Amino acid sequence: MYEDMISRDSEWREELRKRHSTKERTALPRVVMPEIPASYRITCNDEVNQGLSIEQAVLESRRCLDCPDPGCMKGCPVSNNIPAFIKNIERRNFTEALEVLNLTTVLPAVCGRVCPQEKQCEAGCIYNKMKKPPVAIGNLERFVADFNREMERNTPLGEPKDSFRPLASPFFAGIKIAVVGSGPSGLAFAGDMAKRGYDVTIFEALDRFGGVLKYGIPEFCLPNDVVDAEIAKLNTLGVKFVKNAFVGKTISYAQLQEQGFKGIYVATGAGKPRFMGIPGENLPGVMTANEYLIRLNLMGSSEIYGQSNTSLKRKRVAVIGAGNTAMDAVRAARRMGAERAMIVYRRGEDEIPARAEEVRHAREEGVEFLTLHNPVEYLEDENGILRAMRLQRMELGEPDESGRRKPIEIPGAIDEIEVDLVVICVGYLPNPPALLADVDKSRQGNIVVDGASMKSSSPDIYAGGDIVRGAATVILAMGDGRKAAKSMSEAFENIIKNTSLL
Amino acid sequence: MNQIKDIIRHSEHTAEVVIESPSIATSARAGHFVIIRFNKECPRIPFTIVDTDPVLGTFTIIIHKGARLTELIRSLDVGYEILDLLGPLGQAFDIKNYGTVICSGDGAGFVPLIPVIKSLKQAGNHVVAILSEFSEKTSCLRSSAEMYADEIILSTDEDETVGHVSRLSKEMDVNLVVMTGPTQMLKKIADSTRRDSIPTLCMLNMVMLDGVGLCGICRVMVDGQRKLTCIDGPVFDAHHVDFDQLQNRQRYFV
Repeated sequence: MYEDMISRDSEWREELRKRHSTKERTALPRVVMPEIPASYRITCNDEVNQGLSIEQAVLESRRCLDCPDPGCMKGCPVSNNIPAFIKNIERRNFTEALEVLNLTTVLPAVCGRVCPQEKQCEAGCIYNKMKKPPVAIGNLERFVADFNREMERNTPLGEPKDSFRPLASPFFAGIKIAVVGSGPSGLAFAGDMAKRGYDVTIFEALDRFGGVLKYGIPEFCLPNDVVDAEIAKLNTLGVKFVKNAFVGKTISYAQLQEQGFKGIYVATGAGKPRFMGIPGENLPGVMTANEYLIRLNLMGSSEIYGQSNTSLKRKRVAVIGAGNTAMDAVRAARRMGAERAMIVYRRGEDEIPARAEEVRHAREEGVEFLTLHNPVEYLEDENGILRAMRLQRMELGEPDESGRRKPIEIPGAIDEIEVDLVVICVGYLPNPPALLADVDKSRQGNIVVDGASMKSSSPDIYAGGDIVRGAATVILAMGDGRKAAKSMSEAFENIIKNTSLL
Repeated sequence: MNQIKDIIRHSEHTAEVVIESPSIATSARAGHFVIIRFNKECPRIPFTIVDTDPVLGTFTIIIHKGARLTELIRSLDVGYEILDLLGPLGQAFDIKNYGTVICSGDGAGFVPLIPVIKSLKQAGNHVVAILSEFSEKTSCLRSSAEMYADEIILSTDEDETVGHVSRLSKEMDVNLVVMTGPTQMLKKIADSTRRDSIPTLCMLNMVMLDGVGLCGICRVMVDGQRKLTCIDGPVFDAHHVDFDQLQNRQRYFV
């Protein structure tokens, strides 16, 4: 029934391809995402990217050549049918564009904002081979999600769209499935299972849903309203949400099984902050990125911006690390009034792991980048409070096992920089899945799963996202959720088949 | 769910609050705590689970945090629905018959000791309670202590409390010291019991944001290892806690 909407051989699509020549299409410049100016955005929490207008989106969609063997799809961890949704934009069927996305993702508004597209779908775009900027797939995905959300805003959410339940089977209706953690992986899993017709309940330890999307990613990158709207869609699919339930601690896995949950998906994430183990890390004034971002995102500071006790007016702030969370933290610091906001990173400019767009935004907002600097000690003042950091200057050597050039200390080159707040953001460890004793874990505490099925060593328990891979990305976590949903459902299908044969 | 069933106001600053939660009532043990967000404007605050009633499906907390929560205490009443309640959290106290146990707490810091004293007593221990900085503000805690402890010693200042612990350690065969209170006092008592080779546990009262191990604000160095009070605590071996560092950190958050 979706054949016409998604097939490259549909009549409308063939017609659309003929409408403009390749030459015409490739001559179009990539549409630039409208942004609010840096000088204004550091005074508030408004979302930086304003989203494409309808005409901008249609124009950008025209650049897509609708390749017969689309490279973009190979780069997408959830296998979105990218050309199909883009061509639906081009013919101005924005609702169908969303339905195409609904087939494979539950969080298009989120992924359109926070995915590292330049390393995934957009990296596989044919335009790269022509030395031209790739089609703005992420911006288009965001457009589709935002456009439809705005359309629905004034009409109450009714029955879910058909595309939301393409696989529903009455056989699965009574099967209770528990999802531990309401972050992107749990949401993706829950969405796919609910679409198949299972009775899904998500358990969340904190007092609101979304996991890292809520407590970690700040409002100016991903507004909470957007996350809540995506979660509301799962509600209409019948997914139940239970907050303040720390599975493995306040309710055990055995209790879930006693309550009749036949399958459990563990997506508890990796949020336990790593420290470097250098002197001074426990000084007052040194905090984790999580502490800083939770204060900002969960404790109402983002609602009372500028007046909260997290104000950093006239303060000098250093964020250690250069991943996406580090960029979030340092940019948040600028918004909280920090006079100096610095990224301290031991490798070079080219090795920065954060999304390119975030790095550019940070620079525009006046963030300083101290690359090739590695903290070796935090110094205290006469009152025992953080005063300065000592940074070892580095240079780049030969590539290491990660393929990146290894930073090497320059003997004796140590800088001392005065600083009022240090935010440590050098990676995360898996969250403690307490009382989950019978599941195999790595030495670091990651759950070990079979990579194809996401099945753990314990029967009926599947796992995915950061609790399995260590700190990674929203989209990879979602990909795991989808994979786990597929294999868990297949396991139930086999059981049902076998019992009906008997 | 999460409804306040009873509230006993001991003073403007102190109230005993009985909250409905069948799951916490049956699963909580001495040492466990909950994190509560009373309403949208309220931060997440950890409270010791002081008592449970599995039959009625309720548990009790004591709110005693000085002026900051006075307004909140005033606004609470029977029937109040608590917005967010997470627990039981933390590691339970290892309750067994140690023999003679000194439980020393200071002011509001005495609250976490109440369930420990009760459970230790039930396990057959001889419990001596030292309640320090005894004042009008904390008088309600005295009756709880009296109800379960074999002996009660009142103290008015830090050094006196440290003196009591040291004296008792010489007068009787003390098998364990459990303590709460200001870090400075914990350190002094730990130094004293280390000299006397008496096993000593401290129960730390730390600021927490999430309570599930994310923020790291409640970190404490124990025997050179970084521990989180919310996940690994609140009970730690006092002879291995880096109290100097802890005290330095705590000043920043008061």
